[in-house]
Amino acid sequence: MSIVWSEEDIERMSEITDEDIQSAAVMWRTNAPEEAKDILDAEAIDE
Amino acid sequence: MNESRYRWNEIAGRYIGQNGRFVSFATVRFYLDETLDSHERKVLGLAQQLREGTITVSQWQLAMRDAIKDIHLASGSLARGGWKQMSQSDFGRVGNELRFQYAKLNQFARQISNGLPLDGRFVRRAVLYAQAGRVSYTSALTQEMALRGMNEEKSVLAAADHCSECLSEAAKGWVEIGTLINIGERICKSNCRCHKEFRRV
Repeated sequence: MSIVWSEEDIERMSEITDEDIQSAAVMWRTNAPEEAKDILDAEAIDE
Repeated sequence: MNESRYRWNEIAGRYIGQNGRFVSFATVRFYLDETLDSHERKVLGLAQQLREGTITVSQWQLAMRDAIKDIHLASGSLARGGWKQMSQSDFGRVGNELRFQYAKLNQFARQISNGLPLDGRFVRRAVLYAQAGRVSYTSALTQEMALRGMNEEKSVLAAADHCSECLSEAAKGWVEIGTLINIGERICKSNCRCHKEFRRV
């Protein structure tokens, strides 16, 4: 059987935690091409 | 977070590579496509496990939920210049997409529980979730470009097979920003390999 999610469940699951960011960062580094593994760690410059 | 070879020009909304030049829109899209294609193996693996009965529908649903969050967080962040540039508003934009995707996944899982055949169509539909990061990326990128004063966009075909809508959108050339059918919302859905370019005139 599937899990039936209520609108409240979906709302709660759609919130983003630090753990979620870490997980997504690992996913990117694992799967991105070699030259782009660190692109999401870019520092901003104003020029 | 780690040291990066890339920098982000906040005013232009563009990445700068090691050569000091802007990284092209096509190159950034290539990075995203490669990443989504690679991550697709995880989604395919989950679909296969469900077909073989080694995981339950609820286990599949939860694993898909986590994979979808990874995909949309990374894709949204790519459009925004990386993790360090993400604001609460940017995370909110990702959250909105997650609400939509989770509602669709909820419906999909219920259909499976109700006897939807776990055939090739099921696998292709599951894979669309893995590829849907393109929608998040292009939507966020278009908003970012509009915020920076870009007022025109065009759709550029990739070296791939094209659906009729991609061909017709590309044939329009430069048009007002936000008026093209978004990547992922055309006939080819989230498999779309086209990318968008932007300019201010």
